[in-house]
Amino acid sequence: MRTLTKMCAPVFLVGLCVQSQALAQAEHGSANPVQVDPWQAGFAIAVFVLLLIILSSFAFKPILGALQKREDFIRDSLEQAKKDRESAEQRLKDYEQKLNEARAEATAIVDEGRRDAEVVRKKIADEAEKDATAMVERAKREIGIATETAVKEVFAMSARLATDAASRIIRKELNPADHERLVAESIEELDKLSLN
Amino acid sequence: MILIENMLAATDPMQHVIPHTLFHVGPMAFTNHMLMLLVAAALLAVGFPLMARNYPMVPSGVRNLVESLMVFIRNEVAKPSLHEHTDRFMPFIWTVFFFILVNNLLGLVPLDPLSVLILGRGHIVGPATAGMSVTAGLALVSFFVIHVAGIREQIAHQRHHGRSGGSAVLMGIVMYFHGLVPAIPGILGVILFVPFLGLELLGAAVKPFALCIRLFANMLAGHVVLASLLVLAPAIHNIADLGLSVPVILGCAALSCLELFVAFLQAYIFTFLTCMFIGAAVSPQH
Repeated sequence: MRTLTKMCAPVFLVGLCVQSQALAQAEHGSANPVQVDPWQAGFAIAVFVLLLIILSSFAFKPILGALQKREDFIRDSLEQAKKDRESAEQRLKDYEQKLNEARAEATAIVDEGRRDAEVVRKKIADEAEKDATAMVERAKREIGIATETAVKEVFAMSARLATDAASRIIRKELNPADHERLVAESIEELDKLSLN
Repeated sequence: MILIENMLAATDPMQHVIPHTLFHVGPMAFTNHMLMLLVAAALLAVGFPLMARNYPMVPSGVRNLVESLMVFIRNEVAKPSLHEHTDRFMPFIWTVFFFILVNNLLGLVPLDPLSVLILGRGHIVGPATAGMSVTAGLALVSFFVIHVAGIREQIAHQRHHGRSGGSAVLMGIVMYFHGLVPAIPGILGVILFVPFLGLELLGAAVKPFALCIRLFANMLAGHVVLASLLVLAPAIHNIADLGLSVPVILGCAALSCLELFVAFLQAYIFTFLTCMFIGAAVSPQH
């Protein structure tokens, strides 16, 4: 159908031109708008070609050049902006990574410090506890020795006093050697009693 | 009264659109349409070089307005059809568009009544694109450019494949016409080649007819409708005449706005079709 239309169109148009021309000439005897005057058509072509040459040389080439230059500039600017953005994004990523690493490192350092501090604290506490225990033990020992000494002195004094009292009772004077022997026996008995 | 009738196209609406002889150059008649072509060409030949002088990176004012049209024609009309060949054809495409547009717009300016008022003679100016001779001339230029561009592209293709001189030219022409026919495989392709070539050649001849008739008919119809409407506007003698004159004038104003749109539309269509035909000739693969 399209092909048929294409085939018929020129025939139809030529027919239309001829018919219109004949009608116009018959009715008005004036120029027909559908009539193609080769002189006018040639003049239109000549004017157009001349205009094309003038505009191509003096207007459109410079304007086209300016448009291309601007397009190149915009394209380059966009590419540069894209590159800059990518570079900035990469840098940001690097900085974020470094920041994260630094943060992790700082956290590790703080954790290590805490651990070290904990170890030191524990060590100090242990040592202090040990020292304190040792001091308490020593004090206990000293107290025990002092107590023992005091008790021994008390027993010795008690034994002496008892011996003096007994000698006074039995009116018999003990020599210093017997006296010392009695005191030592008393102390031994006392030790045995205290051990039991 | 005759003056008013002349101005309002009261005698014959067709008188405003047909070419009128101004003077004779030997046996050739110089018509008002030819004068309008010269006026339009002069306006463009002066205006565009002035605009192009010291063209800035960022245009403003009138340059901006004209450039927006130029960029639209290049990017939205030419590029989709011509692809990588676009900038090679842009001077031609822009000249076609602006030459037709300025002629269409000049046809809308009421210069004829002004010439009647000032010079006392009508039909000195007229709408050039409403004359078939002018549109036929422009269509012939397009026809020539379309096929020459197609043949040149084929010659360049042949040279690219090692041929040179007359052999490349001959093969380029042969291959161009061969490329017009759609490829049909097998023996059917051989049988149908000649009838299809005939049809395609006929189609190639119809294309400039289509360009010519479309522009001519649309511009002619617009002017005739306006002139016919103005015939209805009687000379105002009493208050009763206002009842007819006012709606007619308002209608003419509305139709003129439509004609303004049609002036741009027809310039666009002529340019668009020319780009499409050139594109089909230089890059048949698209």
